[in-house]
Amino acid sequence: MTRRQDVAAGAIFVAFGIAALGVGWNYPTGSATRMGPGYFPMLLAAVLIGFGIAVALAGLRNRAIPFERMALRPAAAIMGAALAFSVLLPLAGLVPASAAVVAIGSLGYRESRPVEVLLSALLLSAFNAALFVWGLGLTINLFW
Amino acid sequence: MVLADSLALGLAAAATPINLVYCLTGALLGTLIGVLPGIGPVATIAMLLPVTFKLEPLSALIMLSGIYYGAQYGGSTTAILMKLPGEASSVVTALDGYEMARRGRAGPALAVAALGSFFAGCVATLLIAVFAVPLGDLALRFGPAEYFSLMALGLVAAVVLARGSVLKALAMVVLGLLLGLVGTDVNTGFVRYTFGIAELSDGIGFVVVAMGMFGIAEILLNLEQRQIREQATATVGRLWPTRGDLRAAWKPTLRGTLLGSVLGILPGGGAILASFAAYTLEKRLAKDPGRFGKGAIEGVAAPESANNAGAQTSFIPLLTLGIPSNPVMALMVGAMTIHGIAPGPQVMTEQPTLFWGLIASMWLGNLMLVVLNLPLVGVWVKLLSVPYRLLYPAILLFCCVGVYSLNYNAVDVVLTAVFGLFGVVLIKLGCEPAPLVLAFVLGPMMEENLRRAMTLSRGDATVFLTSPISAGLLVATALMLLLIVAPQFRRMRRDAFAE
Repeated sequence: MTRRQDVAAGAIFVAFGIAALGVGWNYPTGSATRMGPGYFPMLLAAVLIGFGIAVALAGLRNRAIPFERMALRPAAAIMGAALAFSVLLPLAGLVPASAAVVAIGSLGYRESRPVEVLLSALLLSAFNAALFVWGLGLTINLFW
Repeated sequence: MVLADSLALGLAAAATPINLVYCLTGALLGTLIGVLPGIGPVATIAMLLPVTFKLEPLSALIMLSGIYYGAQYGGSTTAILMKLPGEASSVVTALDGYEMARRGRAGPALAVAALGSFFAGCVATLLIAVFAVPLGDLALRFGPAEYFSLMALGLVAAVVLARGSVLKALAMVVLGLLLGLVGTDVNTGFVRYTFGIAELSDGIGFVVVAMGMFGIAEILLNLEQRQIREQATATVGRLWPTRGDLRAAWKPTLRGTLLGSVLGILPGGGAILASFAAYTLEKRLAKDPGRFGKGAIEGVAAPESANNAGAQTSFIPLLTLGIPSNPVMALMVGAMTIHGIAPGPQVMTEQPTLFWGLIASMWLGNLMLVVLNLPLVGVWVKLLSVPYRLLYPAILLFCCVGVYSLNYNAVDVVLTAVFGLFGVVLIKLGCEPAPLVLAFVLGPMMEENLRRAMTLSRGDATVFLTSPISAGLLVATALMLLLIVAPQFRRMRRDAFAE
C-alpha cells in the first residue's frame, strides 16, 4: 500500500466529521424554523464525512500520489517553543519567555549556530520588551 | 460631482502628516515582507494587529492595507533579480523577469513592473470609488437569505478559482465552517466543541488560525528544505525601458489591469489568481508564444499590473458588502472589529471620512511605492542576504507575542502552533489552507443568516429561491460548480496554474 495523498486527506476529513458528529450528538437541533445550536454543525459534519469519503475514493481510483513525511525536528522545535512561551510567560515574564522561544525554536534548523542563537536571543528579547511593553504599552511583566 | 467630493474628502483625511507616515510605514513594511520569502502579508498583518490597538482607526486600516499592496511591489523585485518570488503572486513574474535580468535587462523589467503596478493601482482605486456607492446601495437591500447565498457563492468561487483539487478544497471549506462554530452559540448561549477548555468558549481566534496556517506552517515548510536555495543576483544596470519596451508593454499592462480588477472583485479572487490568469492570457494572445519564458517583457508587465489591481479591488466586497473575499480581507475585518467598526455598507454612510480616506490612501501609497521602490532596490537585495537561520526565530517570536497580546491568552500561542502543524499536514496532502481560513471566518455569519432566514420564512427553505437576489446568487453558485465539470474549463484551469 503506497502512501496515497488523497486517501490520507479523505481519512482526515472523515475523522473530523465523525468527531464533530459524536461530540455534538446531544446538542439540541431544534426544528428548521427554530434551529438549535446542533442543527448547522450536524449538517456540516454529515457533509464533511461525505466529502471525505469522496476524496478518499477518488484517491483510490486515480494515479497514486504519495505524500512526503513530515520532518519531526522542525515540528518538535516549533511546538516546544510555543509551549515554553505559554508556560514561561505567566511564571517568568516576557524577557525569559522570548529568549526561550528563540533558543528552542533555533533547534529546529541544522544550520543554527550556538553563538548566534545566544546573541539573537538576547537582542530579540530586549527588542521585544522595548517594542511591546514600552512602545505599545502592553501590560505584560518583563521579569518575574 | 459627488464622486469628486468624496475623493476630495478622502484625500484630505488620508493626507494628514500622521496618516501619510502610517501609509508609508505600511507600504515599506509590505515591500519588505514582499521581498523576504517565507513571510507573507497574512502573517504580517496578523502580527501587527495588536500594534494597531492604539492608533486611530483610519491610520490602522491605512497601514494594514499598505502592507497588502506593498507586498505586491516587493514580491516582483526578488522575482526579477533572483528568481525568488517573495510572494505567491509574483511566481509567474519570475519566469520572464529573471530571464530579462540574466540578459542584462533587469532595470527595464523592474521599471515596467513598478510602472505597471502603479498604473493598475490608480485604475483599481478609481474602480473602488466608482463601484462602492451602487454596490453599497444594493447591499442595503440584502436580508439574511441574500447574505447566506452570497457567502455560499463566495466560498464556492474561492474553491473553483483556487489551484488544486476542487473536491479537497470543498472539504476544506466545510471543515473551516465547522471550526468556526467552536465556542458559545450566540443565539442560545449553548457552548459547543470546547472540550471543557474555558479559553475556547469565545471560539478559536481568527488570528490563531491565520497565523498558524500561514505564518507557522510557512516556517515549518522552509525548515524542512535543508538547503535554502541560493541564486545569483543579477545586477540592475540601466533602469529605464527603451521606447520599444514601452510599446510592447503598454497593452499587456492595460489588459492585466482589467483582468486583475475583475478577478480581484470576485470572491476568492485576489492577487495570486490575477497574476496567473494575466500571464496565461498574454501567452495566448502573443503572436509568438515561444518568447515567453525567455525574457518577454509582456510576461512581466501583465502579471505585475494584474496582481496589484487584484490586491486592491479585493477590498470592494469587504467595504461594500462586509464580506471578506480572501484571508487578507478577513484580517481586515478583524482590524475593523478591534476598532468597533462593523464592516458593511453602513461604513460608507456613517463614517465617510474613514471609508474615503482608506481609498485615497491606496492611491497615495501606490504613488509612494513607485517613487521609492526603484531607488531602494539595492537595499532590498541586501536584506535578502540575512540568512534564514537568523530570520526565522525572530518571525516565530513575533508570532508568539502577537498572538498572546490580542487576548492575553497563553493557550492561544500553543493553539497557533497546533494549527501550524495541522497546516503543514494538510499542505503535504495537497489541501490548500486558504479556503479553510476563509470559511472559518464566514462560518458563524453563515449559520446566523441561515437561522434568521429560516425563522423569518417559518421554516420554508424555498425562501432562498423566491428572493430574486438570493436566487441569482445561488444560480451563479451552481454555474460555478458546473464549470468544474466542463472539460474545457478543467483544462484551462490546469493550464493557468501549470507554470
